[in-house]
Amino acid sequence: MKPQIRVLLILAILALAAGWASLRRGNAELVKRLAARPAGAAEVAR
Amino acid sequence: MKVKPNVEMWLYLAAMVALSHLVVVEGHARVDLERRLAVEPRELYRTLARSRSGLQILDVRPDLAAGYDESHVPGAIPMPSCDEARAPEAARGRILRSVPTVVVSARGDELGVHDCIDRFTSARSLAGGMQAWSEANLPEDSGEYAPPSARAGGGCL
Repeated sequence: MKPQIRVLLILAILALAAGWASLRRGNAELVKRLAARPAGAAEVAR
Repeated sequence: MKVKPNVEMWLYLAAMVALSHLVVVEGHARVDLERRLAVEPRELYRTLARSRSGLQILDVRPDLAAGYDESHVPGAIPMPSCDEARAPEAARGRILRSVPTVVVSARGDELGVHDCIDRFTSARSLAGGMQAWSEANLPEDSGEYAPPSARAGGGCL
């Protein structure tokens, strides 16, 4: 495999991994905020 | 350890497919979480003030004259009771289902709000509705809906 192709593939994998990690962090933050809401608000939301 | 180029290529591709799947799963989870979490008035204001975010704001208060015409979030599109047929003629073609949307009701906790949110690909409600927006002393517009002019420049809130 050409070194350039290898580098490109590795960069693509790293970008995907970074995107996934960022989404996971954001989702964990949203879950925390949802859990911190008053119980009444959570019932209304569903 | 020496890996055959062909095998190496497949390993990279498998990793990319697996990671893409994880990104899609987390993305769906994000949309679902955001639906359940209302946006605070100041957070919405900051988003609107920071950039042309492409955010669509829908005012779903049922009484157009006593609600939207009296005061509304700047740039909001009236859609009384979340019924596009009841929106003013000028607003009808501007309501898009796939655009990130914030739904503004009177108090933010009305029963129909979440049914309305479910009709959009990515939507949240405004916490506390228009009442909370007014109480936070954030800028308001009044009057009937007028579609933005094609020549309009970037205004400020």
